[in-house]
Amino acid sequence: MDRDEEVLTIVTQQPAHEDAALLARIQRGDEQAMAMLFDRYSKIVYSVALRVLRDAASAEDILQEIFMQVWRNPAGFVATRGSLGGWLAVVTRNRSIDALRRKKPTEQVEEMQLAGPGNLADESERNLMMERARGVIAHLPAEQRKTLEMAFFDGLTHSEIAEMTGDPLGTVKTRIRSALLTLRKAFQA
Amino acid sequence: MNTANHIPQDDLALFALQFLPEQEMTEATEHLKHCEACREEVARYQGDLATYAMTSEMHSPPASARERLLRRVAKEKKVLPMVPKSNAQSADVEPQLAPRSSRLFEMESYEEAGRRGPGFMTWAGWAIAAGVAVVAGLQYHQRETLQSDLNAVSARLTQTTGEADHAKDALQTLTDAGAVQMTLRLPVPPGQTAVHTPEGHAAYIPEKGALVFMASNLEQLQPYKTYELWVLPMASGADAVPAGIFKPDLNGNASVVMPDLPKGVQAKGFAVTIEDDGGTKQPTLPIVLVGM
Repeated sequence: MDRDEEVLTIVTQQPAHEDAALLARIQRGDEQAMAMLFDRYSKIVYSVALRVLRDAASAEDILQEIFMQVWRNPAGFVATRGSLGGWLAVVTRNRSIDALRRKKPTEQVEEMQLAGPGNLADESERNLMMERARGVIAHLPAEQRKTLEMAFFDGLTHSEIAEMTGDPLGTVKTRIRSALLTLRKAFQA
Repeated sequence: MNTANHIPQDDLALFALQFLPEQEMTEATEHLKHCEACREEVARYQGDLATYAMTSEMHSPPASARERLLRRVAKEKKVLPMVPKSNAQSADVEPQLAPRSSRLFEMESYEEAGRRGPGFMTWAGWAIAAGVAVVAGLQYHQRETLQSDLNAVSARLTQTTGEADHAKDALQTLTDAGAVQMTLRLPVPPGQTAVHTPEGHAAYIPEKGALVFMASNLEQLQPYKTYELWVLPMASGADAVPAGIFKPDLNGNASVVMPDLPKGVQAKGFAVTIEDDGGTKQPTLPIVLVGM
């Protein structure tokens, strides 16, 4: 590995290490570390919850619930399993959908593994990723874009989407997967 | 779907979205325990979903959310793992067994002790027996004390759990969207039309910073607007204290229950304004409800 690659590796891994270090401090009961984690990721968590629930008070409740869960069980969010920011985003979406459906949380956070989606700890990189993801989504075929939105943000199951749109169930499933694969390929390119 | 074959790609995506029906979810979970390839694919879909989540429009949470969280964090102080009992106990008990300077630690080998004659061995035997008896007594006493403490904690926990359940029920009754909420008024005389104007009722304990606010007949707001409740401090010149944001339900009812408020702020009144979603730190006009 030459020096440039080495520097690049250090730079790209640093936030993950910082997340892991923060979680380790939280494990030891460091309240300051918890405040830093909140400052780093509260915007993502709140925004995803607000997008799903469309209600500021409910979104804040989810925000509190998620961060208290991190405080109580930081070991459940081990950074080495993937990006902590990405993990929080998906957990937030799932909790929000559960709240929308008035269901008890179904997922065990500890069991969820996540590959990607890059470094969300760094705000500038996060902003770049958002812009890029929005660009990719905007260029998806309209049916794929709408189907993914209904599934992810509105929490409609594939059966419910098929019923609402009149499309065959298999088509709905394929659209969801194709949209996600397009997004993945765009970030791998 | 079965555990012998891989999970179809479409279903892996649905699994990540938590949309598989219960039976298939159970089967998929079981399969994933043993199939690394499918686990990796699910992880990739989770990564895709995380990326997609980033397409949400970003909003900062209200400033009060951070304070609220840190207060909760401070309340739930962590109990760090204790030093293993055996180590702690040995450190504590050892001096009672026999100080390092005592004769027990100066004992020579059996043969050497034997050369000194039976008198020393007899005394050493008695000393060891006495030491064992002291340790046994101490351990019994410790066990009794721990048992007693455990019983007391258990009783307190039972009581607290009951109180918490009761409080939770009360809170749910106040805030649940499905709860029947009704405002009682004087009956409207025949021939007259009822006029329902917005109104609110606040109950506040300044010393505890505890506030419950309920409103009715509120008008619906534009998207991305919210009502915000304010405590108007008694102290002259003091700024209004934000006391939570809320939106009415379809019937115009809303509530704010136990927002995060500083303790000890004496209030001369309360007010409600309309702000941008997420709330603000300074109220803007007009005031839609006020009570002084």
